[in-house]
Amino acid sequence: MASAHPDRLTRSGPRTLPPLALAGGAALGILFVTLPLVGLVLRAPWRSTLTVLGSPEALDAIRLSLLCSLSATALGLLLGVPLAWVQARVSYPGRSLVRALTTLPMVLPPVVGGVALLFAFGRAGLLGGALFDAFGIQLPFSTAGVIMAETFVSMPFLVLTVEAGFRGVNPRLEEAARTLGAGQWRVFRTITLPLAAPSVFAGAVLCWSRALGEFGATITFAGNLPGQTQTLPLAVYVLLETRPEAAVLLSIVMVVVSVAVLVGLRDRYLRIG
Amino acid sequence: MSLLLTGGLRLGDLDLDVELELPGGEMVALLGPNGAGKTTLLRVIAGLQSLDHGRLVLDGDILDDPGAGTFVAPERRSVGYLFQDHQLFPHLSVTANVAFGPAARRLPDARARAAKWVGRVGLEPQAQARAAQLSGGQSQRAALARALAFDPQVVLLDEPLAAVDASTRAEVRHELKRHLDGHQGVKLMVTHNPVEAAALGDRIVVLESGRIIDQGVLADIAQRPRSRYIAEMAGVNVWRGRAEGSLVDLGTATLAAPQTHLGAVFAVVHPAAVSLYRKPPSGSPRNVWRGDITGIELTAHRARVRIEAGVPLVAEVTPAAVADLGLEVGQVTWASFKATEVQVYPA
Repeated sequence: MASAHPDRLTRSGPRTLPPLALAGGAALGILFVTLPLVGLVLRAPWRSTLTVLGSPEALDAIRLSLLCSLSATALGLLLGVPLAWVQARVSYPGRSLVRALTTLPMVLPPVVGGVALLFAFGRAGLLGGALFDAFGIQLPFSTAGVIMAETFVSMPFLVLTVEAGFRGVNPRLEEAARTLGAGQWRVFRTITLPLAAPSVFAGAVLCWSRALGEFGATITFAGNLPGQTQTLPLAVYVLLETRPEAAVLLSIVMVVVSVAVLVGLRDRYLRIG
Repeated sequence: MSLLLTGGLRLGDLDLDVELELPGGEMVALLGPNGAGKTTLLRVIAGLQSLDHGRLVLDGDILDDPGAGTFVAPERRSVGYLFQDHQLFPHLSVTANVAFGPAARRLPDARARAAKWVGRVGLEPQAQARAAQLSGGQSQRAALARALAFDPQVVLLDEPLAAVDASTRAEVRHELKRHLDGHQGVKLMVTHNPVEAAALGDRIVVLESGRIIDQGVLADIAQRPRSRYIAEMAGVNVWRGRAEGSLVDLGTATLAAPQTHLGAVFAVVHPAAVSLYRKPPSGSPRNVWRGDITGIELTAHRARVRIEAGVPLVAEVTPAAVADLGLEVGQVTWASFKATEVQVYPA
């Protein structure tokens, strides 16, 4: 997958200074993004790192965040991979409409997503009432609700990435496998999925990191109950009022995770830089 | 064993409609220009494309019959398909590629079977290599082993030598013949190269614009071409027209023939029998056409002059004649050939 013009975007020829407006804008852009991060690092009470991160509140939030974001990724894979395959390989009327609907959560304000989830799965919602009456299941304001909110918001990242991956698999290879005696399911398992594995991995990581940072839909649909639905971003928001140093340290935890994801994905999958 | 295909389909510009019987043990070479529908015909037999009308029958079993709503999925047909660009699975080793068919069809000892075929095509040293590490010839052998490893009743080969270097083509052709000669099933290969068709095929079927226009051995097909494609291939002029007595009406030109015929005919003239003049020639009764020179191809010993004279015509003269007559593209010329040089046969 080498790019056709590796240095298409690189200026060549004699060294010249970039125009002031562009260089100045770029410098301001860099400052704008890095200054808050620098602020975080400078303000962090490094001496109390262990006590803050070791407190039951913080541990609960970290544990919940890991549990919910990983569960959301698993759920996203379970639902998103089949959806991506159908979108990539089956042509049916209304396919672009389905694509628009399933990617909507990417552009929707997360709070709106949370409200929508309430109207679907809340006690008075479309499905929620029936679920409660039949099984006594109540999704809002539960850990399961956090997982649902995170999946709702983050799955589109996975679907789009994996769909592009499936489209990148040469359909002739799948045809060759069919002539060799493999049914469609076997072709998917042995040819399509292994060849699209890098995209599935990248999609899962993007989905996971988006789920980890989810705030709006979670607080709207699942509330902010410590130990049950209070994930890291929610804990940071609450702690900012009462113990700002703790909020800073928890924020840094998330920054470190995000940076690790970016660095890990950069060369192999995202092709940035 | 035999395969019978009658009917066809429309696909974009292609309108395929054929009647083709392939007896087991015989290698049939499907010869035709690009876009004739050769690959589509293979895909129909493999089940990668369904018929619009007609039926496909293998040994009494109906594989495709849109009229009756019957369609057997490709994985349920016994068809080994050697693809033009091989389509080896890039994430699997050579052995795993070859074992794919036997494993998918749940044959006993898929691995051992694959190893046997890898050995048979001489790829033991590359058994664990990936497709990207193979040369064109090795990749072709791996693809052939993969297509044959589950003992298919039908073997399809799409331009089997196209992706092989010219330097090793003769050798690969030899190997291909050796591996396929013993196969008693239905064998069909597609090529646009008449030499390959003659070298590998027991019988040649000519497909043009979705129709079978001729079949037989190459010598017969080239002797009496039934299309411009075959005529070009054989290097002769061929026209289709209506004969009345010793005259053949070609629509935009008329031809004098040695014998009398009636009805639709083909007329063939060898380019070497055509003479060219700057002025209208006089003399014995013969065919004289006035035309414009549209192209001149010069080689060391001869020149092929293309002329548009109502119908296209190629004359083969010496390079000296081109110089002497001062022939140039765009010029008007008179082409003449004796009636006795014209061969006429029913269309």
